[in-house]
Amino acid sequence: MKPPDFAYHRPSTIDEALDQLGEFGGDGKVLAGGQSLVPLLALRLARPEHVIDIGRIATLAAITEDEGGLLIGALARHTDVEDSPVVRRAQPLVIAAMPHIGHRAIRNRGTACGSIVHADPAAELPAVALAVGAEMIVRSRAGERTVAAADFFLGYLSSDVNDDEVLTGVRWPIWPSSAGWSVQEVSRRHGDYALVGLAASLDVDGTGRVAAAALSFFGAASTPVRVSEAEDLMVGEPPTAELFAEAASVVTRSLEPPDDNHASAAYRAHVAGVLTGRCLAEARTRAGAAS
Amino acid sequence: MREAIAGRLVGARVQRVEDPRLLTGRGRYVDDLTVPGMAHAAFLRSPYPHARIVSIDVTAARALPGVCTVLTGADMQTMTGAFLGMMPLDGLYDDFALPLEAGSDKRDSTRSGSAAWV
Amino acid sequence: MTDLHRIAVRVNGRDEELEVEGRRTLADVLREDLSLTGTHLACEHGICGACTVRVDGRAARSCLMLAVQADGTDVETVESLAEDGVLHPIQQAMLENHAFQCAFCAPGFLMTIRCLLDDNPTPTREEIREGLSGNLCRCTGYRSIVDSVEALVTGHLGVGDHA
Repeated sequence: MKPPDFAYHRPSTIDEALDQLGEFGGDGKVLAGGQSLVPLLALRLARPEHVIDIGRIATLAAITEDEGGLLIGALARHTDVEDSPVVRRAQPLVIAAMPHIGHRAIRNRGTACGSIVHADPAAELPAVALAVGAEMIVRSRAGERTVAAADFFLGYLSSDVNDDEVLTGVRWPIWPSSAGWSVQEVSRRHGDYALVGLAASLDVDGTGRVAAAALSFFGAASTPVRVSEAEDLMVGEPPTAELFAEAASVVTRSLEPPDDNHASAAYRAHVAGVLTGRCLAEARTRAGAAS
Repeated sequence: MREAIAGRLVGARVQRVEDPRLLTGRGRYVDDLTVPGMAHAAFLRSPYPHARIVSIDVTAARALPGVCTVLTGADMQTMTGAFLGMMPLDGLYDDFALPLEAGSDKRDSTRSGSAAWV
Repeated sequence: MTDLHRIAVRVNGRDEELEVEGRRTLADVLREDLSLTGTHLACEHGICGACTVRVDGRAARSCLMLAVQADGTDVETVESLAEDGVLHPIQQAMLENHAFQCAFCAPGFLMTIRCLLDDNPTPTREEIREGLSGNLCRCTGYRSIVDSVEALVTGHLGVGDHA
């Protein structure tokens, strides 16, 4: 249970890191918080020739807000995000996901962007990114490109970041004050990866009707997945328990979750429906509360 | 004498004598010990959940500096008997007997109750 | 190929200069190079919390940090709690309330509790349980540990059983 041999590099700038990644190609792995990579090294499920530690590139740790939105840099630890008053105001859905992410010790080292690029289908932040339409900023020696959340998650542990690229930050839209939020999940023990979970938003307009809704599930497929049929049926309607129940049954009907030794597909689909009702109810109580 | 001890201990809140040492990180658990000439054992397990071991070649591993020896299931069989499982019943898969040597078949182990060492 | 790196780490208040392979974890370097065997390894993949230490004032799983990542940081292990043979209040509370049995998990719990009380000096029982949920214990069933922290927080050291 000890990591295999590798060459360790610690670039001081992002350009240096990109040069190294460009040189090593598929033989290099980026190390940020290490809470996903180091266990993989310890279990020898990952055997990179080179590890490029970007942990000292201070410019990547920023959490800033401007008219373009909220920017969370690659080195912002979960704890920094969780404790940030800027994020609390601008992205309460991200804050709501935080207590579900591992435990405090994990969150002290792990990074929000790391969780997103790692793309575990049972992780919370990829689903939150998909729910709100976050944008990923991916950089290589050749330049920078932006990838929308809907296009970013390619499959199990696979995201749109090439071997010579680094996710340097994620841009989140500013939360509309009329919208409520909720993140709930079911797991065997608190802090375990979710069997299935939901990151939900519910925007209520001036007439008290649903203006928009997002139902973004994790643990229900090989990537986070939204159930747009359930979201769309709620638009224009008063946010009642009956409406939520209707959305829930569409969710259970539409999802095709994995069947594994942790939970059956039927169980996950059923629980996804239950979480739909609970999250929408919780989100409704918060609609108009964000400030 | 007995009465004096009983008076002190029976019904009293008795603190453990080992706690000050254990709570300050001065316990001596097995992994904390270092003795002269100590070797370390590491176990290599199959990376595949369902597979047949066709062959095991330890030549390169044995030649690495610092390696005392490498033991396979076949080597262990010369030194020890098999570990019998709890219920070596005919036809029942025996959790405790897992094949390690080349060529052994998981099905065989249920019949004999053990095929190799754990 | 040996990939050695010089690092400077402040450990329990002492500045240490070490040469370590890139692949060695902070836990292994603390235990083997600095003989600080109080920090324990059980699962070695971040689940059990036995390896918890305090890095730059925050709880961290030392089995999930490469030693090279600790370069330039301030690391505190369980050995930092007692001073001149006098137990830290957290240790004293665990002693008086019979928190542990084999105590293999204790150093990880103690450092987690230390950091929990840093963030929140007066946690409720529910907050204590939440804060300790990342530390596993095979012996006690956790009640005695939670009771001990609660006793410390409420100032009622040595109080007997309660639900």
